[in-house]
Amino acid sequence: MTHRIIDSPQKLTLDQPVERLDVHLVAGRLNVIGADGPTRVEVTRISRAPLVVEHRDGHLSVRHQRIRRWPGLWWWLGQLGRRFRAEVSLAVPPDARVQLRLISGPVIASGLRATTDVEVTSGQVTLLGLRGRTRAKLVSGPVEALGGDGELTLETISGELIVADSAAERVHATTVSGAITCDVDNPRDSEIQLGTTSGGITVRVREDSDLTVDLKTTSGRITSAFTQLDTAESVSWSKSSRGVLGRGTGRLRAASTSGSIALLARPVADEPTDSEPTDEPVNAEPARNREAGA
Amino acid sequence: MTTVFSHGRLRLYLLKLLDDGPKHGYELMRLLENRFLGHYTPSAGTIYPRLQRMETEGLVTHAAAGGRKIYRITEAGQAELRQRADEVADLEADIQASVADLAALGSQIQTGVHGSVRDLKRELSEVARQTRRIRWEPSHRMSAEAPPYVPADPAAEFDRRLTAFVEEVRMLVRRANLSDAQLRTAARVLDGALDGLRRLLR
Repeated sequence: MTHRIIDSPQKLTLDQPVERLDVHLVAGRLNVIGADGPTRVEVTRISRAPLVVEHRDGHLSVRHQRIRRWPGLWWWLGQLGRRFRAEVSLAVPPDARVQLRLISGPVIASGLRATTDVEVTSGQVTLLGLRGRTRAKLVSGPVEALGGDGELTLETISGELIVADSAAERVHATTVSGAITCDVDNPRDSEIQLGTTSGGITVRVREDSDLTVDLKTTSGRITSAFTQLDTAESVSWSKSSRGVLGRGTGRLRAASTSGSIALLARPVADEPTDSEPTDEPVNAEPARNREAGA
Repeated sequence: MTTVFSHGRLRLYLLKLLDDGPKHGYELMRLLENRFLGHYTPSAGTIYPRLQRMETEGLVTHAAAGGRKIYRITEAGQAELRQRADEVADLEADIQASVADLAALGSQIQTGVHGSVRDLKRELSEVARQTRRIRWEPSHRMSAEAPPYVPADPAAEFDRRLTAFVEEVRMLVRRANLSDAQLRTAARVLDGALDGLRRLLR
C-alpha cells in the first residue's frame, strides 16, 4: 500500500499492479495514457491544496485532501478553482478500469482498453484510440474522439460531439445544443444512435453497411448519399428518411429537432488483398477490414 | 498547431516512410500504428484516399506486385520532403519527446486529435454539400438507379488532364520565346496554382 501526499510538482513510479484508477480533481488538467510498464503519476502543476495518491490492492486513486471545514459561499466562488488546481498525468496499464472526474478543465485519455468513464462539468474531453467500454459525460464542452472501437457513449448538454475514424460497434451520442459528427468504420452489426436538439448531424458509415436506418428532423433537411434510403413517396428533403442498407442487421438512428442530417458513405478499401499479407502477423483491425471487404 | 497525429503531418510522415523504401499499404498502416504508440491505427479508409491523392499529385506512385499495390516515392515526393525538412525534423523530435514526457504527450494528443477531427469535419461537410447539390439537380430522377455520385474515374481523368496541362504549358512557353522576367512570372503563376491545389487536397 502506498499513501503519498503531493504538494509540489513531482513524478512517482509505482511497481505494484494497477487494475483500477479513480481520479477526482476540481480544476486543472488530466492526462491518462494506457501504456505497458510501471504505472507513473506525474504532477506538473499544483496549487496550495495538496493531492493524495493512494494505492491499495490494485486500486489507485488520486484526489484532493478532504475539505476539513465546509466553507461558506464566498469561499466557494472565489477559492475553489484557485486552491484546488492541479495538472496530473498518468500512465496506467491499458487494461485498467478508469474513472475520471474533473469539474473544470480538459481531460485527455488514450490507449485504454477496458472501461473508461469520464465526467467533466465544464471543459473538454479528448479520446484517442480507446477500446472496450467508453463513456464521456459533460455539462458544457465538446468531446473529440479519434480511432478506437468497442462501445462509445457520449453525452453533453452544450457542446459538440465528434467521433472520427472509429470502429466502434455501438455509438450513442446525445447533445442538447451542439452538432454531432460521427465517422465510423462500422463493423457488421453496429448500433449507432445520435440525437441533438439544436445542431446538425453528419454521420458517415461504410458504403457496404448492413444497417436499418431511421433519420428524423423536425425543421432541418436530410441528405443521404445512399439512394436506397428514399422510399417512393419521400423526397430527399423530407423530414424523415428510412430504409435498409445491405442486410439491415445493424441499426442507425439519428434525430435532430432543428438541425439538418447528412448521411454519407465511407469508401471501403478497394483492395482487400492488400490487407492479406502472407508473411506477416495480422492484427485485429486489418483482419476485420478484410473480412468485411470480402 | 499541427502534431504527429494531425492529417497534414500524417501525409508528411507517409512520405517519410516511403522515402525509407517502397512499401505496401498494409505495411504503412502497421508502421503508423507503431508511431502512434499503438493507440491509433488510421483505417484503410483513411490511408488509401490519402495515398491516392498523393499519387495524383505525383508524390508517390504504385506498382502492382502479387495482387498488392507497392507504393514508392517519386522525385517530386522527395523534393517535397526536402522542402519540408524542418517539419520532418520537428516530427522526429516530437516523437522522441512524447514517450518520456507524459504531460507533453497529453497535450500533443489533445492538439493532434483536435486537428484531425476538425480536418475530418471540414471534409465531411464538403462531401455533404456535394451530395446535396447532386441530389438536388433536376437530372436526379434519371440517375436514381445509378450510384449517387460516381463519375467515370475521376482519378484517371485528373491524371490525363494533368499530363495534358504540363505538355500544353511547356509548348506554349517554348513557342513564345519568353524573357527571363516573363518566365519567372510564369513560374510564380504555377506556384500559385500548386499552392491552391495543396490547400484543396490537404
